[in-house]
Amino acid sequence: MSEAQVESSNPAVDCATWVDQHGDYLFRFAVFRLRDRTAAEDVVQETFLAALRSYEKFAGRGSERTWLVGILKHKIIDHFRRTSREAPLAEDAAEGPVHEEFFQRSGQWIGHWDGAHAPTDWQATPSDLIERNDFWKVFHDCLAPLPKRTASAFTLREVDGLKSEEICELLSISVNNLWVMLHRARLHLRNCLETNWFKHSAR
Amino acid sequence: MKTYHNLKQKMRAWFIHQLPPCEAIVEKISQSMEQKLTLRERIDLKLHLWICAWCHWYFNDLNLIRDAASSKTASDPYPVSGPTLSAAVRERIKRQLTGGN
Repeated sequence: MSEAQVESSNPAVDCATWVDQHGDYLFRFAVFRLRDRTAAEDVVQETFLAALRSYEKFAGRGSERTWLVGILKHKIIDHFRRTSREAPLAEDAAEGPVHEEFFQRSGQWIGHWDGAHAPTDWQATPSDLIERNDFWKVFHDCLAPLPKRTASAFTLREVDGLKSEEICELLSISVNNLWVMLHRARLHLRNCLETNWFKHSAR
Repeated sequence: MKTYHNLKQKMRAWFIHQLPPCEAIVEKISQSMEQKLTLRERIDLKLHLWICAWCHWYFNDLNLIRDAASSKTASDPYPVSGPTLSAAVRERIKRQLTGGN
């Protein structure tokens, strides 16, 4: 901790206020991507420490939160690299629920949608959803039952817009593995959002 | 009119049986969001979506999720009310920052 001690004399930063102002936000950002509270706590702590060390460079240019989120993104990526190296996914061991029950398993229509699980027309546009915090809460909860790596892969792809190849490299998985994971995540999430938001909410 | 309607339904049913089933199509829909499909796959997909409202909605829903999620990030990465740092962790981080243990 010597590094932090040296920098702690930096008079420009009120560390306690910093943590109070941005801590929860950064934590939620990290939990959403890592799906792991302990890991999220660690990356948030690393982010604050790194920010303190490089505060001079930031020097009040732009929004403090945006700057912190930028550091946090790097810490999250480092975390993925580290953990995927430690626990590589076995080849072809794609994760996530298969949801066979969504499709008919017998009769003339085998492999076609089962009536109870068939998609409906949501009649929504992105702008209907973006500002609805309760929608994003459901979105977050719907990803929770998925294996962590599958949920993370989905979030990196659809929320952060990373390319397939980048995610494969980060998570040490093959592109086929990623596709299976994304497909399972989409199948699950779409159904869950329909059940818990589009059919239920008083929109 | 009724006969025509029945005939149309029968034609539709016959036609959809010539194409890959929905279970295979939803996989292709997901794959189409990751890379360009082969010509054959694209034709199968287009034809299937043309006659199957369910897969058509599935396709729209996934694209809506993608559009909403990516524009959400652009405006504000993740402001949703949700988990917060526990008091203990908050204190731990503050201590680290001020050089204590």
